[in-house]
Amino acid sequence: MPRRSLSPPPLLPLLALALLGAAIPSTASAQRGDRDSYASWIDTTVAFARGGSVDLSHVSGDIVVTTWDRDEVRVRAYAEHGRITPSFSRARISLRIAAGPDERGRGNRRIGDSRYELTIPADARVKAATVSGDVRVTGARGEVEVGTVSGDIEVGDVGGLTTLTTVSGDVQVARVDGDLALSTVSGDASARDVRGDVRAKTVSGELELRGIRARSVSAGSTSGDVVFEGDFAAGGRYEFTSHSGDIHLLLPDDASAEFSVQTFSGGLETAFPVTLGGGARRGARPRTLDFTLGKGGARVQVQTFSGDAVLEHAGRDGRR
Amino acid sequence: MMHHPMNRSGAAACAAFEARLADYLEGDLPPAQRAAAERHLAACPACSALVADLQALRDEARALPPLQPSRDLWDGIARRIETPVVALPARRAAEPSWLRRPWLAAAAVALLMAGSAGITYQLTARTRTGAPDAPAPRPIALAPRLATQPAGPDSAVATPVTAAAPETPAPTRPAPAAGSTPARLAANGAAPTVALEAYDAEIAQLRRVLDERRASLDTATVRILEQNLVIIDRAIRESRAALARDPASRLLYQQLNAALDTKLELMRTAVLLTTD
Amino acid sequence: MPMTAHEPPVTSTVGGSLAAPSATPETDVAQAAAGDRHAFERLYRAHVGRVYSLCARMVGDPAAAEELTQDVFVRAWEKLALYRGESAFSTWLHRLAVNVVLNHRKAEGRRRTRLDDDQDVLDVQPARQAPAGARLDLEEAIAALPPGARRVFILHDVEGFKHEEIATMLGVTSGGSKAQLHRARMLLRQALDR
Repeated sequence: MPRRSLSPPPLLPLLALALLGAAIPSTASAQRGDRDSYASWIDTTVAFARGGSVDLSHVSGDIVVTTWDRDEVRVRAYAEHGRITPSFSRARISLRIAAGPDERGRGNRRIGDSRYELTIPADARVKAATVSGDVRVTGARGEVEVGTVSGDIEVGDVGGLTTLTTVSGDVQVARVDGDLALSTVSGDASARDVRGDVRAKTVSGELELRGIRARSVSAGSTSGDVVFEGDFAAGGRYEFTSHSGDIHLLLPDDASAEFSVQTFSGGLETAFPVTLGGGARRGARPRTLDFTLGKGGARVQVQTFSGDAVLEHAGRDGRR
Repeated sequence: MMHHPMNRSGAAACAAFEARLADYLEGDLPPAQRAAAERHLAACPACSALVADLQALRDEARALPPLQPSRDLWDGIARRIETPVVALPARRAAEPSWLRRPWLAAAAVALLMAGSAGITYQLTARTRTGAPDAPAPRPIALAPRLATQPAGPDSAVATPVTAAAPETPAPTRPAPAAGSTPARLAANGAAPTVALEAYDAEIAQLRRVLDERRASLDTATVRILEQNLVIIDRAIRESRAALARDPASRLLYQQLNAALDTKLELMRTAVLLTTD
Repeated sequence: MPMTAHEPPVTSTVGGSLAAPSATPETDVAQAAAGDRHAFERLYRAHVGRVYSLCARMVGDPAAAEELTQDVFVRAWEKLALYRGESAFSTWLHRLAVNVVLNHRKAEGRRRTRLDDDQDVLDVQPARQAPAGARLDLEEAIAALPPGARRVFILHDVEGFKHEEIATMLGVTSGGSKAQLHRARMLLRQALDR
């Protein structure tokens, strides 16, 4: 049964969101000089169609999305500075932060925190974008897309295509029943218990993928280490690449796969008995080490420039 | 007293003890082995001296006095955590534009998400087709925003980032058509120099945009982006140097490709986060 | 007595605390989280010694350690709003410091010497050569450990983290952490000529 493959999220809604945001004139009036009150707040519950979409963007503070079994969305949002611009329809809800009152108002240009808390139908689609804010999404069974610059992302118990992007924030995602795409520049990303295909990429962050049950995995880094722990399915493809990061594969004792490890100056360390096929010339560079564990069936490719490939037994706590 | 209760020579008993020493010190040995280890320790001055040394080391490490920096570090920290609360006109130009116009920031992240989706898509496309140089769409989101700007000095530098057009196969002439993304290096070695030049050209243009607009990014983000560019550049350098010695290596081509792709994506991400 | 993992030490105030007598650490933390830079400076004064020590021992370069220490506190300032008091502030800050240092390590790239063949690809060269002849003190001997062994030794024996925590931080197994620790201790004993 072919799985739904990962595809790029639609571009236009995000673009529209962004461009619309830039076009809104800043005319809101906010309470000035009162540090204890929020310039803008919303607390409401609205009817919402199943499968509708929720688009959220702000600058700093938290975005928290949970789900319930109702055809309604509960929105609680406040902004310390600036103005929340909501848009509600039965099929789509969007919240974003607009500029503060005017250019003369002292303090209005300061970025205060804003906080969005939403409870949405479980099958709604969620998009959340923030600069330094943290985003937490739990229980969503529809598509989830989250992006930050420096904010952390925490996603759990989700069931749709999940796309998480950050520059320097850390990503933690757990219990995904669907495909997962992760991308960071320097942030660390940890994914646990994923039943779906995984694409993960980083420059210098660490990718830690554990409890992965996928037919297709692709994880790449430049200098960050990659840790993978999971099962190899017969016929599945698993690709790990790095320049100088190490690639650790924590495998069950009865792992069954055909391996191709290629490295320029890295090494292979294996806790599994490995018989090298032909072509493994001693001292040759780059080195290609092909071998089979168990009966084979899955294809595992590891490529590094100087990073090591390490095959370990996945014990209960990693010990043999 | 030098008796060896197990039927082993002294050296073998010590070797057996040393093999379990780490677990013994961590308190991880099962009771029977632990008892055997204790018996050996009681009988063997060398091993008990070793254990005493290691325990003393542990205690000394625990008691190491704190080190002190050579200077007061607070001023540097204070400068970096200064929040732009005060609206001094003189400071305006240096402030990130998203502090002046916060909605821009959220817009930028939305764009970033759209842009970086291209990364995952590329990974996917490559994996699915199994053809490393198969054309893959690169949805770059900046184009419409730049397109709304009046023509001017910026319109020239906007060219590389309007590369929303699908990736083209390896160019047949040195200068790639404006608006196209440089082709991936063909692993079979087809015209690698040409493709490299195309990469270099786009990277140089992105770099120019970035340098012009870096003031619009916050300093922490700039630092992270620059640090990571250094990492990628090292990877590119190392791959190129290795490739020069071994021009036929498919692995090295793929490594260089990956590093160049990563650099392009990072620079595009950076440009998307800036405003002019 | 077998050695067992011990708890992280409590807050060090060796950095020279300028905290106002009335201010407790808890109120400093709360005030700093709310944006009070004076409160944050008091936190800095109270914790800089321990943070700097960690950085300096982990990277073995005083100038880099000073920069990293600043990075740690800048990051702490940015993240303070997220600190919800699940652990002691000193523990939270310390973990943050470890993360910053380890990210720096990654960013600096590896300077590891590798063997040509398949057996041991771990560090084979000390990070810094010990000065010839001189009897080393413990600090110097730690600095001369191979990087992998040094990190684990510092995190476990100096800083008091548990193997499971170190394994998570370094992306290794706890078995690997234990092996590195033992290796570090044996190397130190040898270096200190005991």
